[in-house]
Amino acid sequence: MTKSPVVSIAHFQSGQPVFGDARRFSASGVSLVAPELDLDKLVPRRDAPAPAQDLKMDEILDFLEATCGALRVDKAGYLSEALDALSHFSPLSRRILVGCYSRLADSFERTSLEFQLSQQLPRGALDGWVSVSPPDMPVSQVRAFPARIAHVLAGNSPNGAAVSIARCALTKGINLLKLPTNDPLTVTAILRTMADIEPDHPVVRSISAAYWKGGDQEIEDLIFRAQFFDVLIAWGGESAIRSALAYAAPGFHVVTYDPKVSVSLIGREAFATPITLKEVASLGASDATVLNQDACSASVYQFIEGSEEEADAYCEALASELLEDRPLADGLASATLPELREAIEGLRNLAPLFRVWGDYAGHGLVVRASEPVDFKPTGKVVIVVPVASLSEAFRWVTVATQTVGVYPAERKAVLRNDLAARGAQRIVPLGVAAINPQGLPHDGSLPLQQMVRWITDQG
Amino acid sequence: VDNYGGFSLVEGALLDDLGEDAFRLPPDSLQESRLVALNERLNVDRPRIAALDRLALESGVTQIANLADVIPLLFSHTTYKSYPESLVRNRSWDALAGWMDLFSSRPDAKKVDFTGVETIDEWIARAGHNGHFVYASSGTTGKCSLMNQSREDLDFIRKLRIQNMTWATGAVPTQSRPMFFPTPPQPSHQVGRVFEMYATAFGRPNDIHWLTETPLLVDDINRAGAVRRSLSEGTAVPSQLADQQSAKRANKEQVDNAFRKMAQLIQERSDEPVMICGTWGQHWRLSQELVESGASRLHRDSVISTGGGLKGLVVPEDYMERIERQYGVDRRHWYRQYGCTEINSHMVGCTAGRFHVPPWVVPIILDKNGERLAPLSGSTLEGRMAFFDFGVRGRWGGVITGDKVRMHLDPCPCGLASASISTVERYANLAEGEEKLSCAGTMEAYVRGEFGV
Repeated sequence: MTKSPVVSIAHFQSGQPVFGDARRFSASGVSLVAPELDLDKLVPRRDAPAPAQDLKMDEILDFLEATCGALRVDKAGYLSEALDALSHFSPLSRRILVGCYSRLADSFERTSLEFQLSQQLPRGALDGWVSVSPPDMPVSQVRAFPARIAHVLAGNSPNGAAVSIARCALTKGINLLKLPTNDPLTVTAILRTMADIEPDHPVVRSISAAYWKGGDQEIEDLIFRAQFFDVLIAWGGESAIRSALAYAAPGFHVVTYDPKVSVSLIGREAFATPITLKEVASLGASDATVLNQDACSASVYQFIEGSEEEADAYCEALASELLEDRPLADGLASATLPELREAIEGLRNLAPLFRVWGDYAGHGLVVRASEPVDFKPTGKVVIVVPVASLSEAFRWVTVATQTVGVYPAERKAVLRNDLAARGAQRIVPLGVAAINPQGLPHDGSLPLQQMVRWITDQG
Repeated sequence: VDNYGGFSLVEGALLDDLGEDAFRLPPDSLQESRLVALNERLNVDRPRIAALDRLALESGVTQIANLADVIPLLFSHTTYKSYPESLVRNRSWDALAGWMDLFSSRPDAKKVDFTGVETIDEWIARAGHNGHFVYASSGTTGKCSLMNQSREDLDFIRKLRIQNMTWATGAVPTQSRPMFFPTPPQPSHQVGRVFEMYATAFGRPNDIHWLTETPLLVDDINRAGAVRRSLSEGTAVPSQLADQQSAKRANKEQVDNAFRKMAQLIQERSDEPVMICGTWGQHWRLSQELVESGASRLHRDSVISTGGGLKGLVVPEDYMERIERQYGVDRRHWYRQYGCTEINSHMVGCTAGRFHVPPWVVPIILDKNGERLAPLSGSTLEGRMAFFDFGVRGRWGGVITGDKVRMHLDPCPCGLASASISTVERYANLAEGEEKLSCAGTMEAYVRGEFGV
């Protein structure tokens, strides 16, 4: 992988890309240049309505459908240009990035968008005032009114850019997207594609994008204010979330998509036959390696119902499955981080209490342990814990748990209430952790509802 | 190996200068013998220390032709806490010994019978009864580093500490001084053992004073960490947190009283030379008590030994001057030292305010990431501190620290020609640092009453 000398970031405002190299940054060995930051232009004015406020949802859906088609064709080459640049510094391989980019358009599929609306916000309330009748009171009207929203995005998956833009479009508000350092390119590439369809389209004029270093107080303190935005939506790791929460104030609502850990619960059914075990290991590997385990949905702890010997058999099968290339995982990813390597090397010699499979080159590592370890596994490191019964794993499910993959899927129904009560947010069949249909709840909430202000016109 | 634990001829020559002349040799004059000694140690230790053998195999370094060759063979400062914390919680003492053996030159701690051992402190004591003089270094997370030591390590440390103390302060080991340690006894910690050595050599029997009678055990610190742990696991209840907080308050009160009592005892001995050993934070607390009680100055031949940092304690900018003013002992003659818990030797403070490197310690200044030698700028090097200490016998002597230092190769303004270190900071506290590990701070935390139970 050759390092690109300079990555040029474009901003997007008033329906147009903005180029420039007035500001320079460096991150993970890459030089980034970005245009001047014109905060006065990026921050919405309260005296002007949102450009898309009076647009009907059908028009928005038509435009997003056109966007979907345009992204698939990429006539102007914005996506391929962004992809080329990104592949020079992304920790993901080009093969994975190509896969992600080929699915960017999926977020703009009309059927998917219609489903999101049907699940989260009544269309009528987005398009105008709907009548409601409180008992024994005059009829009132309410509207899901467009809001002013700042977004601090995470860049570990290009898909996050598409999902956020689609949500912005559906909720009609005024949006400023803060580009993430690890992917400052995908958002602008999508917005430019949209602008080429219709430069003055209200949706295009509703979304701005700019780069600054995440957590830069000198900038964020000026703009993250109730006078400019109603909501701040922050994605990312602990520091990004904590920094965002610091701006919470009356009139300034902070929505966080917190850092999460995901786990798998594998029933004894996995040991039915050797072929079943191999299949289950393949599903487990798929869940463990989402974006080379850099996604919050990637499973790091896998609890398996069986003896130590049975768990070891699963570990062995899992270790060999980790070698495979998958749509969102590299068979050979980045080498294991030194501190992790040190911790795992310490365990290697602690058989039979622990057993370790795999190497540090990036092929993946499996550790069989009697309980979750005291280091944070990352970069294709899976901790497998044998349990006598899956309910034994409940104690390791907390408010930090996002996805729980269950095998066989039939057992989800028995486990889900306990898992949810402990704090888990999403229960899936083992092997589909990466597949996340838009419209279902996200981090315990319905995202579109958090992007509008409910206004009453009382009768 | 016949001379197990003994020093080779070349190492012996480096160690011969221990004492008076140790810090007079310019770094250039040591280069060659240090390289020879490094190769000797590598050849002797590789077959014994499994973790070293692995590093050598992986890096392909089997010979050290120049200083850069040793870099892949240095242990990181987190190596000694790479065991799973559950081993301690679940009392898997044999496994813990097996883990420790990976880093030991006599890897047979796993043969020790740990039957009946309940706590980590008992485990350390049991290992000690069997010739493995393990010591702990506590982190704030409740997981401590564990390092094995041989009898030779202890002998070396005793000899070195006493000689350096005499060299730096003029104190003679005649069991004549009232001794003050503004900290509880810490039988499982290196600093506690060194203080015991000072007490035995310099202290007047029956006039040796610790902050508290009750020793501070690793298990106490682990228990404080256990509340944090159960909180993160979601099993803690509010009353448990309240208990912890009130225990902290009670502890703080106890510590405040203990400092008052110690200040009183010191005041009663203001007409004779005493020795006070502690960290900067502990000296600050003690001197504040002395100020408040209107105590007079110490006898001018008193010895003050200090090291370590403030560990987050908030003090005025001129705190050193203020301590000096209250004690009335010229700061240039204090015994100051810099080192790290993973080595036996230490760099000794001089009258110019620097720390001098003895011949038997190879100072290695690396880049921030600890991967390459830092470039020489004039006669100054700046970067991540690493050491190889020939004084370490029970383990491999090479370690990379979390410290950012500036080291000078030209003679020091104090007149000594040895390499000297003028500034020490922790990468973890610097903006450029990216470390996630928190540094050990247990004693200061105790003093501030930050952990209880």
